[in-house]
Amino acid sequence: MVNNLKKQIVILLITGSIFMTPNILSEVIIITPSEDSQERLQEALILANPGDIIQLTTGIYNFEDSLSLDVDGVTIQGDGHENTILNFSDQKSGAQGLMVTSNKVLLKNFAVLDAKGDAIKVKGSDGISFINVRTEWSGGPKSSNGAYGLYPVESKNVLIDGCIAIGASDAGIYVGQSENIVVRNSIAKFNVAGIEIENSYYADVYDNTAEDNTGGILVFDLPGLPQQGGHDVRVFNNSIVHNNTDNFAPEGNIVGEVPRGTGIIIMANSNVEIFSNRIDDHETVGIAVVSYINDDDSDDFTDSGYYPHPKSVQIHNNEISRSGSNPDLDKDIASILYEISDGDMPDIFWDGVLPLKQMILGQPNNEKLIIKDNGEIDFAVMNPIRYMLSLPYQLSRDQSEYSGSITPLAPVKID
Amino acid sequence: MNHNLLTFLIFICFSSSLYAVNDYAILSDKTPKALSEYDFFSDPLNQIPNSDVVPYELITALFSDYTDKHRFVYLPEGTTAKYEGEEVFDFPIGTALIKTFSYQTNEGGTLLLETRLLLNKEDGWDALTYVWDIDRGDAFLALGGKTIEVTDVVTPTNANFIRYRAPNKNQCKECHLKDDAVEPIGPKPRNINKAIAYENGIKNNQIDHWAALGLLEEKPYSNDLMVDAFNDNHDINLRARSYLDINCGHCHSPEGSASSSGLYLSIDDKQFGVFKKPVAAGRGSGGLSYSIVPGQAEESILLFRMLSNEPDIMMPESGRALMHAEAIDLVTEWINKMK
Repeated sequence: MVNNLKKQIVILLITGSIFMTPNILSEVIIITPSEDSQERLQEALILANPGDIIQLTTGIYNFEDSLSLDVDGVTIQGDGHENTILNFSDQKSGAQGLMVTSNKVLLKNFAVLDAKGDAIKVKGSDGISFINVRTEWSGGPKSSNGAYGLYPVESKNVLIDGCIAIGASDAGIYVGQSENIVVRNSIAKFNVAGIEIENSYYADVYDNTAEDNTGGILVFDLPGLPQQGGHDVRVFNNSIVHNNTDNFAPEGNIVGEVPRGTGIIIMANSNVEIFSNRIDDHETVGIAVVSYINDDDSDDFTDSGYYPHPKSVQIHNNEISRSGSNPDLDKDIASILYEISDGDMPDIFWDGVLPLKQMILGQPNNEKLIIKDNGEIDFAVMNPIRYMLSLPYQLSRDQSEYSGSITPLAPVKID
Repeated sequence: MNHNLLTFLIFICFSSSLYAVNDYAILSDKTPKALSEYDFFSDPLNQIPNSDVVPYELITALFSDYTDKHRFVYLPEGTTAKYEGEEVFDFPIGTALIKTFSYQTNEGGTLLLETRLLLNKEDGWDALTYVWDIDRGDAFLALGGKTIEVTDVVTPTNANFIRYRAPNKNQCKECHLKDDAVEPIGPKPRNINKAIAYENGIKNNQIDHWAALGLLEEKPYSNDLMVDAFNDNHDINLRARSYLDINCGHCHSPEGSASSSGLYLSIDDKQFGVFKKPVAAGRGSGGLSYSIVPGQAEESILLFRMLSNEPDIMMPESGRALMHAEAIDLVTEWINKMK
């Protein structure tokens, strides 16, 4: 009797697990390179059901139009980013190589080559993973390259792991207006910005390599966008080295203002923790902490909800070496710093720009910049009022004011 | 008895000719492979609709490579669309919006390209396109889209080759997405508030006509915000804003596909790009700093992107292979006159 009951329970569990597991009904759709890859892959992407895997076998796939996926729960996977190549060098229409607009999507083991615009754009997705994906423009750094390699925007629960981004004329890995983000084990090189986290909340960027970009890692917040007030970003254990490639961004874009030879820039974010990174050999500066400064006609485009200054930024336990040997004087940040430092460029620079009241009376304690345990480094902070009025002592190199205690930010959790 | 049967049979014949559209095909989960299965047309090759399928026009239309567009609306018998303020009408389940794209050929004939459908199903609007096969007299479902290489057709700019793209299903959504749902774009009251000639030759305002047919609830409507963008008699500002509304505003809205750009171009948007900086435009910025610089069209990204046919620069991103010369003139004049 008891045995029978046990048997029944076991059977129930087994059948239960068969019917409960969504994957059991999922299909693997195999696509091989062919003359009509475009139509076959696009139809497969449209007709896919949640749980399906679209398997792209080894080979080069040539596309003339962009591809897009709008079905939840689909995996697109290749045989490795050196073997399955989605080639867009003859692209004639579409502003990106691949566009994803659905949730719980996994992109894995393939490469997107020479897209005319962005390589992979993901918009409005909850649950997007890029695993071992490569995006590359094969002709080296050129302003005619597409803007972004891996480009999730307005998304949640974003994982970028083991990816490679090369040659983007804006950012190799760009996460914009998103939330709950992990970027790790990835390589970004020969882009204008290696990795950029913009107008985003809760991001962990770690164990990556950013080298030979114009700027290694950028944490930015810009006005006039649906999501702003970027906060809670941790950048740690990264190797940020030799980002000395001339800025090749098309003018008019914010990254066009990044000086060649910059390791990290933090602009107008709050709660940022930069730690345990190796930041070596940057011709302008290792780390710059700056405000978003509106220096032109665009006052008309006002945005009252925007806070342009960085606050609660903690920079600790980094190893920073060989900064400022040949600053990029074409860019404002570099030329101003060069001028006020008499050419003695620091490893870490803060522009000191705050709301006027705070510049005079001081910042609230919990918003102050903290610089701690970064070894023997040069630090410099500008006095913007003295700079504007051409008074002496425009730069201070005293680090002691910035040695508060570190309050670690919580790790990001991805659902 | 016999008399009654006869009447009934006549009624069946009569009604089937009057109400010939296949409602089942519109609502079915199994998407018909051929356009003919819907029975929208009594003469498909000449785009003559069945009697319960009503042609309509927009005051200003989306530019699609100078194609001619034949638009029709079908509502199931006895149903009525309702106003949603200034938004797209609230159409009943079973509604079909039908749009055929064609060119005039140099020989004076008509080249049918595709017929796009928006079908209002139980779970929302479905966007589909059917590509014409003239030899078979029918159009066939193209979920993955299709490239049609067009030559020898009439365009104002004498384009001798057009790489025309019938959109794939996802590209349909690209423009028709509002928040997470597919929505029609054209049939808003402000877009159809004009008189057109109906088959009997009588001119009538479309809103009045729809209401008289019982397709639309009766309600006084007056809004002349949208104007014909290419009629010089109207104010240049309204002409340009009308053009941008119908060509850009569906994506460039807080609910649309271009929400992340922060550039919004519906006719009633107060900030429409004056001194707006590009965000993630890449090469699309063209080295320029703002979407619109008043008085300086050549410094304005908005115009720059209309002046390109390169995939990563051109706007709209999809749906055109040619430049819209008349619109370029319009927007140039508008920005140059702006203070």
